[in-house]
Amino acid sequence: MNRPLANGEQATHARETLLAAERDHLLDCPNAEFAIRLAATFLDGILLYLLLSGTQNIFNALAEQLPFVPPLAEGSSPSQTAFWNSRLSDILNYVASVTKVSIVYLYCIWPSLRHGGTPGKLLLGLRLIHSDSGHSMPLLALLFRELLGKLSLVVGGSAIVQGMWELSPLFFLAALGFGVALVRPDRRTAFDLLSGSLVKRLHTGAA
Amino acid sequence: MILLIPVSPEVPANHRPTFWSGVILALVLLIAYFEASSVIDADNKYIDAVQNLKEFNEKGSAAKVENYLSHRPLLRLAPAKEDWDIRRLMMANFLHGSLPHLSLNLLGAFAGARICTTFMPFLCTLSIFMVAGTIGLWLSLLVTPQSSGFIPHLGASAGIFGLMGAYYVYNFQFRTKYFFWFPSRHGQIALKTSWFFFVDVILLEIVLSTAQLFPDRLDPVDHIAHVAGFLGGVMVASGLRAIQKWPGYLQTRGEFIFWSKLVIPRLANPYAAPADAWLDLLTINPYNDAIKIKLAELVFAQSGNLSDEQIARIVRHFSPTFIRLNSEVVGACVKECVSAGRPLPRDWLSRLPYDSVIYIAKKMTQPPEEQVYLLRFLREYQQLHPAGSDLKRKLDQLTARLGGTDSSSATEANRA
Repeated sequence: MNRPLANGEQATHARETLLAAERDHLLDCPNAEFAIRLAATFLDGILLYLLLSGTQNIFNALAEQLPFVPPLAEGSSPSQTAFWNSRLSDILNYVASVTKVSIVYLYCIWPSLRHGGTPGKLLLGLRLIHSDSGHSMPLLALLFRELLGKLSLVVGGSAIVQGMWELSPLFFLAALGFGVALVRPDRRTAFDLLSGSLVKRLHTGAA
Repeated sequence: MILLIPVSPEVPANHRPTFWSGVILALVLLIAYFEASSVIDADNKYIDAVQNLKEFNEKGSAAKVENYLSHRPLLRLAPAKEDWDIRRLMMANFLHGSLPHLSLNLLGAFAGARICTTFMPFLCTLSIFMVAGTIGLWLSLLVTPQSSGFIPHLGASAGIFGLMGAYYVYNFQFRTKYFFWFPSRHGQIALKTSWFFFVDVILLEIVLSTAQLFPDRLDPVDHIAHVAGFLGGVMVASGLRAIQKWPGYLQTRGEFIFWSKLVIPRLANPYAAPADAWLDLLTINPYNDAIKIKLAELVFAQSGNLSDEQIARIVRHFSPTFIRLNSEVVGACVKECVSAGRPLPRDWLSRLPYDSVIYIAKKMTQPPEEQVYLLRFLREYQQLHPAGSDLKRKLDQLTARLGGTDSSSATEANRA
């Protein structure tokens, strides 16, 4: 005969049961259509662009300050000042690059681990889950998926912008990676298949 | 702002922004441009002539060049750092130096004036445009480092950002519909104004305006005027709201007129129930989540003072989106109804999606001794769905897993 649970255990048990019910429900939700996944990627692109261009502008403004740093301006020879300005400029560029990479990681990876999708996906009511369990994606699989997917987007996008699609095999590979979703009944891209992920549609977007 | 276009506040169709106020403001700017075009042409020729003077390239002749620049034709209409007055500051809101400058600002003026019609009459919109624009231009004159004190400042963008500031104040608690250039119905989304409007409209401008303070920056856009205009619009709109005594939970002008002209006088009558007044407001604007939250809190705090019909009307307004974004409040309201034995409307319950039920249920797990109400709610929902369906199967599993964990059911089992 099962003993009744203590109060604290009851609350935990109820929460875990509801979370499990939510995960089961996620697996039953329809797979997201290609159009809305593309819209979510578009929205992510816009939000990421705003973040990255804002960051770049902050570092550009800081870089403008470099010639005015007082210890360098007073009592140093011009060549010494130029040397240290150049060093500081390199350090600033390095910090800017690290900050931007961190922003991309925080934007693409952390929300997917924690909440089940990038901000664009979450705002449009999509969830990225593991296809077997319905849980959030594990970190390595997620990194692999995001790296491959974003690289393909960059390659494909550059090829389109430069008009080189008829020459670049990489463009065709990238297009194939995404185009697979148009023909598959479960709407999974090649990156979804390789990483074991699914994108589900929960609700219409409002946040 | 070009990437995420605010189209409208999230309001019913009959409250959506109208075109005509945007068209009128755009026409005024267009007419002003053509009226001033002769002065701008003359100014351009004057500047070309000054730049061809030998003093322009000679060292030590800065004072002579400044003297020439102080007589440029455009300073009759537009202000500069060393030569300004209130009349020209106000006129500069309607002047533009070139067709590209005008074109961009026409779009902005149309969008800004249009979006403000949801909560303001046109004359208020125009006043905020002029006052905020004047403040923006004036601050930009004072603060921007420039190579000459006789460079005119002109353009409608400070006023346009003032309209954005006014919109931000009036729609802060609510959502804005955005279009983000995706060519399908998926290219529209409703986002919280407090966060996204700030990021989309003004955050980048704040960053770029700090860069404008460095004299070597060559960006021709007056970001300081934009930020100052936005802040001016925020200040003027806040003052206007204070004078109007506009309650924070009202979104549209229709709601405000109804509230101030019909409800407030009636509330002097002690027999008038506020629940009915708020339900009437929701009839005007069913998207108003602030009022729905108030009603849910009212049910939680005073369900005994409400009739079954009032509670049913209130609960029917809890849409899946509202439940997802405010599940804490809805969970408390539903728990109160179940514990007090007040019936939830069956039509609402039968239409409720399963994930909305999960959102509500998650907020009903505490305290553990009240989980019996969670089970009652789930069983009520379960009874409305046909046997043999997938949903029924999931609900059966869920209630079975939850069923043996609450102390009340354990006590009932022991008594049995």
